[in-house]
Amino acid sequence: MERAPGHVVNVRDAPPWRGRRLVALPDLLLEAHDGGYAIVVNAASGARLKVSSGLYRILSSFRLPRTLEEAVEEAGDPRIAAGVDALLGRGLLMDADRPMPMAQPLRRAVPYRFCNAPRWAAPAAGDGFVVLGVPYDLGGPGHCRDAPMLIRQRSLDYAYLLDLDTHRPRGWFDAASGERILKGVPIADAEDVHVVYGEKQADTFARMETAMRHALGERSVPLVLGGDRSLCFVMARRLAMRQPLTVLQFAPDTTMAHGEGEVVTVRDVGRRMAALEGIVSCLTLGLRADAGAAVEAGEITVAAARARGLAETVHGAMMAKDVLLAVDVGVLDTSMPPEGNGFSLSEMRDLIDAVGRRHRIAGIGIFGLDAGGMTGGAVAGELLGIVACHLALYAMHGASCAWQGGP
Amino acid sequence: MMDGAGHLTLFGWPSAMANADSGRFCAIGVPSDHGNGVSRGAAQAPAAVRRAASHLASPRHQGVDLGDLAGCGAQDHDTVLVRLAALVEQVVERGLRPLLIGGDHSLTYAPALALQRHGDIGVVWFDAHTDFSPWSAGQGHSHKQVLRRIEALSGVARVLQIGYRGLTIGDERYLGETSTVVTTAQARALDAADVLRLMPPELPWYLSIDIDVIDPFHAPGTSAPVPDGLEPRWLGKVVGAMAGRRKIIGADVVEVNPRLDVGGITSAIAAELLRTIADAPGER
Repeated sequence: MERAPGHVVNVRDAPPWRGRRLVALPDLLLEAHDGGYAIVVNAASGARLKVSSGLYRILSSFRLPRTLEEAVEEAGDPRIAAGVDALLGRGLLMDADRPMPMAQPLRRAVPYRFCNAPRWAAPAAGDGFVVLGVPYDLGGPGHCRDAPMLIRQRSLDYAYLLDLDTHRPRGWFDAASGERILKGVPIADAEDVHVVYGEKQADTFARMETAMRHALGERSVPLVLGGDRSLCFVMARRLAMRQPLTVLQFAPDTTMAHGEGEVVTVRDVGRRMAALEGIVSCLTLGLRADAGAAVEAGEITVAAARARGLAETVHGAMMAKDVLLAVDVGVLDTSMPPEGNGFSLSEMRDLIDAVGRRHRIAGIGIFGLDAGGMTGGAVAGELLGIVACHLALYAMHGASCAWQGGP
Repeated sequence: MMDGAGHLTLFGWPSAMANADSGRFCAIGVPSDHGNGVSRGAAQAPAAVRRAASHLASPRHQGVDLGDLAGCGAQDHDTVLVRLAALVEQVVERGLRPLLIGGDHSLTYAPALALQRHGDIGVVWFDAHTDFSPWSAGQGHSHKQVLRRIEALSGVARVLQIGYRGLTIGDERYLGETSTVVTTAQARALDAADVLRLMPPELPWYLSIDIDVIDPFHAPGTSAPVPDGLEPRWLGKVVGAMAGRRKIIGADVVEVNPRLDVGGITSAIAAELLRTIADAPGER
């Protein structure tokens, strides 16, 4: 029953399922239906599929296991055979006597796209960004799975538009620097990685890595919207295959704890990444004075960075040319009013600029946004969503500077 | 005309204009958020700001508080603006200076319209946004294009916009021949004396303070926050210098949204700014 991707059914061939008993997936629900289409939900996976009314009629004929000839009067019609093939291909029909284990989809649709940028369609040949949401937060204690949607929703205030004449991205005017950033830089949103809570972390990570492999062109830079910062592990593993890589994490507490189990956690992700092939160094910047554990090698507190100077701290670190920039938004001072415990957005911007001036930012991750867990409640969460948008765009600007000859 | 008789007044000021000395401030609450397309809640600000002000020492110069403009919730936005402009006109005729507690920022059109009829004025616009979105006749009036409409009034001789920041579609640093834009990044490098140099002393000035000019981690209770804003202390010093060294013919604090506030800290900052304005000796 399996066929290679891109296989085109020639209706004159006898399809491999001819004569076999087929059945509609037992977990299907009908969400919407009108004269033209139906939306079918796979209750087991949560996946939604839009099918034509014609396909839905064929699907309905297979409530009980039966062959095509038993189910449909016009079984000889090549359009019916093509419809059955499509239903099998989309996983709505299966072989009743040889059920295949259900394959998880790689990605899932999202209601908003980052800055309303175009939906990702194919790996790009040139420079550009691919946005990928990963609503996974079982590597730490925070509720960060809603963050991709929150960040995308807030990002709609920063609309991705094209220049009237060149048809290239306009970018945005940055009032602070007085320059236009990300001008001509394409962005595409590849939606969310499909996360199944309850499955092994390794399976989720494998799916994320596959999604990255599919979506990224050779020169694409991923912007991953987490999720918690354990996801940085997948980014590092993937990007280190291109070039030797330094991982620069901005995080409020240690990432260098010793692993205690098979799961990569927010506390040990730095140590685990440091052991990956192709990782030159792994640094964590922004630990609070009260982080709770002794500062490990490669970890720098907010106070130490300020004392040394932010740019000097970055430039003084031993880093590879390519840098994976991972920001856990908990590194920011989000107290109201600010107490100075974490970095301000302005300081974060200076730090990101310092990285972009000397290094090639190969990937960007925004992690750790727990909108509901903040002092200040939902308002603070929304605000942090806006701040996360700014961080992402500043980091993308820092990355694009390498393509455009420096800031 | 007014609501709130017998209720808490700003700084405990009396609520009748009759005995007020000329040149005093006259507080008016405008519980309206008709011009805010983002979020409801600014209509609750006059009450919240008065409550916050009750915890502050009274300013040196006593004003009056007429209460809230009545009926805002039952009238169209245009009607509210017309009535507010008429009330400001009455206040000016009594020799008093309007001190408005918004409400959303679209309401500033009313005092600007009324005050510029008496001669050329300058307008200081503290705001994270330039509020200069396109507008054409027949379009609903809102807080997104209010400054564009004010700048076009014949009696508005100067506009000083302070606090523009963030990532915007276009470069909004040029708003026309009569306008100067000081971005937040530029403002941080200026002290009060530098800012005063941008305000010709011969011109009477109206101060309009959108609370979102302040960093939203200091003042979260507002509907369109932009990160990395000004510190309240900087703003207080500059506003105090303006109130003390320039002829201020009126002022407002707008876009405080108690529904989005955290522990009332935004209302408290708004109250402190109103106190700073009222406390300054100022030219009257």
